[in-house]
Amino acid sequence: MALISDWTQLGDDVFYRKHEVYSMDWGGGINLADFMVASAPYGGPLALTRDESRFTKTHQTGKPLIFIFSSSGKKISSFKIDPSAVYFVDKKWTSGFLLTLGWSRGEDLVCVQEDGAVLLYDMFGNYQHTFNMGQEAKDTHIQSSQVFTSYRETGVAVLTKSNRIFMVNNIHEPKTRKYPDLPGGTVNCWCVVREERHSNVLVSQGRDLLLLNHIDERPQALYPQWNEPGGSVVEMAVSSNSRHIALLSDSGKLWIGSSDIRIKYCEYDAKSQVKPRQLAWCGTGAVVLLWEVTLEVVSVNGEATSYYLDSSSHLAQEADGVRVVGSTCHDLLQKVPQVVVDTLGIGSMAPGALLLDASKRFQERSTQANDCLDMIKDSMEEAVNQCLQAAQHQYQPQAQKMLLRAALFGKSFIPEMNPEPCKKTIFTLRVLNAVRDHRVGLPLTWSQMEHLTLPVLLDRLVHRRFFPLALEIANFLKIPETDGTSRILAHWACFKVLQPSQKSDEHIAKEINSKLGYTPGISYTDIANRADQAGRKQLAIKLIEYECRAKEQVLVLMRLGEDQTALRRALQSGDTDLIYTVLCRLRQKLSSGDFLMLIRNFPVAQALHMRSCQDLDTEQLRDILVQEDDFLGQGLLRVKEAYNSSRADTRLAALQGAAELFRRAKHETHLQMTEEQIKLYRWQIRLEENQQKPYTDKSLHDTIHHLLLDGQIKEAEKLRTEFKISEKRYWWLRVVAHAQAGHWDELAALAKNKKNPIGFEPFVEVCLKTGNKLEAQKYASRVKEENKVSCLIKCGLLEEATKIAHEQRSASSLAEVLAACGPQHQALQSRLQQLLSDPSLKS
Amino acid sequence: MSPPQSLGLDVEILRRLSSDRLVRVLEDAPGAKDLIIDGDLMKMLDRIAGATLLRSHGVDKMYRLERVPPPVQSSQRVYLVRPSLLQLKILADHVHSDHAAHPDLHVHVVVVPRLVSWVTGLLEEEGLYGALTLHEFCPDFIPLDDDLLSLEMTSFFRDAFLEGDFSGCVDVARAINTLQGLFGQIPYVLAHGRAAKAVVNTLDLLNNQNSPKKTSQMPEISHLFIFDRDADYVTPLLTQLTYEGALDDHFGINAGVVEFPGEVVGQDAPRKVPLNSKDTIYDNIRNKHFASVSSYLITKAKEVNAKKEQAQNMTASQMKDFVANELRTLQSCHATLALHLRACESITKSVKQDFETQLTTEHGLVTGASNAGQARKFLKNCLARMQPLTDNLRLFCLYSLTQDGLSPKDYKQLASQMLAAHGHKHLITLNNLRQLNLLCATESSASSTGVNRDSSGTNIQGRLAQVTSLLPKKGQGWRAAAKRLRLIPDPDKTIDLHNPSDPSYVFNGAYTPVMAKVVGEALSVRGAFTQTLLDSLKVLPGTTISRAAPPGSPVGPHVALVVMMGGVTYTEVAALRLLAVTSGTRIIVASTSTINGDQLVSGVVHK
Repeated sequence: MALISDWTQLGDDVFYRKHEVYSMDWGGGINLADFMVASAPYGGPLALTRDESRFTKTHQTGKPLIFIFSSSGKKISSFKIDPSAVYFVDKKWTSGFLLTLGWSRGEDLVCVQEDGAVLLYDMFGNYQHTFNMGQEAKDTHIQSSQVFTSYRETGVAVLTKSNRIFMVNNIHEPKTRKYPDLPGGTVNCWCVVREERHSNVLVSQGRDLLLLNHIDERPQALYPQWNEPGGSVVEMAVSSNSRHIALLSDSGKLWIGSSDIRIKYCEYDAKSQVKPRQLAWCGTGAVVLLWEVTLEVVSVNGEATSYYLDSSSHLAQEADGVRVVGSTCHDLLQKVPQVVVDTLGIGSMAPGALLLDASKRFQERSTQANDCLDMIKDSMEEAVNQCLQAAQHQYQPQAQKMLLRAALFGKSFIPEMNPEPCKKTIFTLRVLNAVRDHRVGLPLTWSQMEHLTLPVLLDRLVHRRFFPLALEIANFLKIPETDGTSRILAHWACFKVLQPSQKSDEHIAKEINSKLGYTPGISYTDIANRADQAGRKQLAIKLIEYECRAKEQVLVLMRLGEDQTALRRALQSGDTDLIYTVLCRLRQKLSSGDFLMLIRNFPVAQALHMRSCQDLDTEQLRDILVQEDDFLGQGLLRVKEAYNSSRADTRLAALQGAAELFRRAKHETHLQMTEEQIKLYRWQIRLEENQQKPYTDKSLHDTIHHLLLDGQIKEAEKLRTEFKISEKRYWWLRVVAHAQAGHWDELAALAKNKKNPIGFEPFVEVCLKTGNKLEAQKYASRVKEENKVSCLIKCGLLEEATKIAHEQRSASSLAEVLAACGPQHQALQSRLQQLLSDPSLKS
Repeated sequence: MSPPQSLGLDVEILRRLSSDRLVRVLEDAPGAKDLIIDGDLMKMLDRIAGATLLRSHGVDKMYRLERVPPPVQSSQRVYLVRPSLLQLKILADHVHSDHAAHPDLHVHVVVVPRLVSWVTGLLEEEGLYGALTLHEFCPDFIPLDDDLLSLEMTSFFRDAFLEGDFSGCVDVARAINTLQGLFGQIPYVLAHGRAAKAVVNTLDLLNNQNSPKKTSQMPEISHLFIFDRDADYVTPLLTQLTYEGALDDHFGINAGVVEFPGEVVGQDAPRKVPLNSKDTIYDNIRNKHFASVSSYLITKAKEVNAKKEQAQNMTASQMKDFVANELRTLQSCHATLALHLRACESITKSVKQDFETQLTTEHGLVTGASNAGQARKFLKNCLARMQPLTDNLRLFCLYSLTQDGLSPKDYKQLASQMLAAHGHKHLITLNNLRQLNLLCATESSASSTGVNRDSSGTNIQGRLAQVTSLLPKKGQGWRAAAKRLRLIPDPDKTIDLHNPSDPSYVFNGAYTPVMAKVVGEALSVRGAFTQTLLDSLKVLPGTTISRAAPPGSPVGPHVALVVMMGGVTYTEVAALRLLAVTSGTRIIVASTSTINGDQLVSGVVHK
């Protein structure tokens, strides 16, 4: 059966399978033996460069050409490392000899040069950043280096020609660590062994095996248990999870054990004195040795098998297998997962195998299906799960379908079974099949996918610029917009703005907007920033138009130097704070004159600016008013200033200034009133000098009032004539002032004046106000007829009130008096009631 | 008189939202702390969170923000301030002086409603950057009652309409947005005026940022009306005649709480009394015409007394029942009745002697019944008698408004007397009032000022006027507007003040507040606003925005939210409450703050 034809048994019930995942798109012309190859895990891209060490150096090329291919051999990019970009920083131009290529976790290409410089490029050959391994590495040069996966990140370790090891644990925070010195002598080989959060280095030197860590001061010698001790280790490999190690001795013996060398799993004689080209782990269960065209697989229990390849190849170690990249095809070698062995293995009686059988029989319409089902009726759920899991680990859609069909067939017998695992398997397999397509070239296995997680997969697709596919997947799996669609679109837009294009900026911006719309989670700000970073300012301006968060938009516009637009947008938003922010910045940026000219085009902004000036900067406010020829405004400002000052001359000067400005503004009322004020103020100053009393902050009425209180009737008279105060007002002033000061004689004298324009009600009122009922009574009888009764009542003259009311024959007046009667007026009350009963009264 | 309560919509939830937000801010400064509060925020804080709530979140002592810093007692101090220059300067002085003596005092500053950039800038300039932790606290509408919401932004009127700073609109929009978040997108929107427009625009922006899911929610509020105060200046200028309005005019109602002086409460010290519909007696009289309040109270008092007298003849078991159930309510009824009777008495006593003349003049001006000469005479009298500044200004403004501007001679004469009485520094005040169009002098000397006005492109004052409130065009003065909107009821129709059916009862049938009129017209038609209504709004300053729900979409129950930008008077609230009853709509009134004529005018008086 085709499904198991590529299986090879290695020990009891342990199988390995090797199947082709791609035939390489790059054609057969590439001899991998001539190249230095670096492959990224999780089916990542391949980087190739001519291995200069294999050729005699004819001339110093300086700029090695690097090719990057997808796993399916599709060329992604090719570029030359241009050290000038790097060394410009140092102001020195040295050409580094490329020593090692490697890939970081984020799929950036890490290039280590002989002089200790480490350069990072993305897979499209765009330079990312650089760092170096320290002065010593630079001075003494590096003999070999390794790019390794450290705790959570990617690290670089180098061995200098002076036998020193330096390490950077995280290429994004390059901090160089020095490891203990090695004794002199040639290093055969070395590798980095990760242990928890630390990275140790295992070095084979001469016949010794030394472990270095950055805590101990000296190396620690290790002694693996060889059957025939005395050899030296020439090659070593650590498994992807860092738990296991394989050592190859010069005599061709392979030692496999735990990475701390304490436990030995097995020793195997490769029977070859020739050092293999590569030594790698296949998952955690086997070690693979690669010679020119021979591949030897040695399991941890010492069983071995060989494959013959048709071209020189490269091994790419994965967590659950090893990929063998040849010049024409790309194979995956992995241990067959146990569940697959159970389900598909020949003669297996596992429930899954039986269910698969039943499903097949059922499709053949054979009654034997029932027999098979009978056998597993108690373990149907397990059978379904086995089939599902087996399907997960199949690479061919055909096989996947067969197993899934079996699983669904089985599931139909358990209606209460949770459908989620089935659903998830089917959906994820579709995604996996899609990304495995050779146009995409991501040969992910199920377990790699589980480990990588879906968001990271989407990121990787986006990173490879497979935007439509990523979108499809996000939609297919119904990932929330903010995590899926909008994030992908935002990346697309950022990519789009970086692409050189014939189209106008306007067009590109529109194109982006039509795709993105206003999906939540899309930030036009980010996209515009990206465009700006790429030096496309106009495009950035066009893009930021689409930003709907006013604040972000305005801030970006200001950064782009589009101050007017920023101000306009801020004004549209109606957010005063934002407007102030823009104004504040403009003020710093422009000269005062330019600033004022600019904002006069924006009345709201100008109003706001003037408002802030009122509190903080009156001079600026005056500048604006002068600029606008606004004499009225200037005048008012002067008036305000006048009252802020308590010094007489300053105030007078300010008022005179204001009057002049009002004259120029042709504002007659303001002018007249200011002139009045000046006149009054002069009077008040004179009064103050004469009487040593404060007058200046008082109004005209108050001034007269106070003069009257002091009995200065003559001064008051003078003021009255000077300011043409009407009779009525003056009388009121006098009445109030006399009563308040208790000048009852003056009041009486005033009352005798025949020309009384206000009547006697005010007299009564003011007397009562000061609590003098007696004085009030004097005037109560002289008020107008209609007010008499109420005045008398207020003065407490109830008898008289009754009399008047009776004379007036007014029922309402009588009732008013009655209402005012207290318990002490028993007699009056009864009389009033009697009077009220008179029917002839006016109502 | 109370509007239909059957329609759900619990506005009390807003208070909880605000108080939760406040607690979150307070918990940003965990542990014991002293709270120092901007005087402007005191009342609002009272309404949001009681002392016990604050205590339970670590507040030890509370002080009002004043020039002298309070003693340092706990290791943390939280300032709650409005972003105003003066308060911030005081705060900075506090921090400087405290820092010298208590270097480890931790200071938090909570800016209400928003931490604006200039505040940060100012504190930086003061050298306090890093010395204090900045927070912001944005309150929602505060429910003063179940149909009255307020943001307590008392300075909004001056900021927006005089100074042209409409930033408060953002806060109003946010608050409305919260309401929409709770009760669904409001389908019908009618907004008129500059501030209203700014609110609607901001609301649109906020809606864009919201997730589109909300639109599917069934709206619980059907109509949203937003008006600017400058659409109706006459209402606040007139003397308030409803009981609640009178209380506001005489004692001042702040954030729904009135402070009665000692003589009213019958004690030595003044007492704060919350006024809302929970008090059933108050709920019955608040919107009554003042004239009918005391008689109602007396009848009620008699009823209570009668009940008490009944108790005299009760059997023992009846008595037990009575004491257990009714006595307490009767007693509290009695206390409330007495309180309001005394308040009535106090108001009647203190009204001006010529209250009648005042009313006749005011209403004569509005209806055009009495001639301008009488009004002018009365105003001059008031000036001569040295009435308070705000009273005189109110009358002056009303006179000018209703005459569609004064002749220069008139204006000059009155203004000059005004300044003579109250001081010439009020030249600025008069100018402010003119900018607000509360005062208007038709400058006859066309050659001088007229030219300036025409070429207003260069005249800042003219442009400020454009910015703050669009000048009504010629022939579209107040009188034309009043006629177009039919604000002045037919004088022959008598208005029953005791059992009113027309909102104009609030002014003795002389005038209908614009809001009540427009909202009434709009609600009388189900569905979209009629073109006639929209056309008639053109006579008011500013532009109209109207939105209608797309046909077929859910409209929800008849509930209207009426928002007044720049303060709402209790008179308008009363008129709308009556409208709610007559139109069968629940009306919720929301505003930047409650306001009365004195507050309106004194807000723009030059200090």
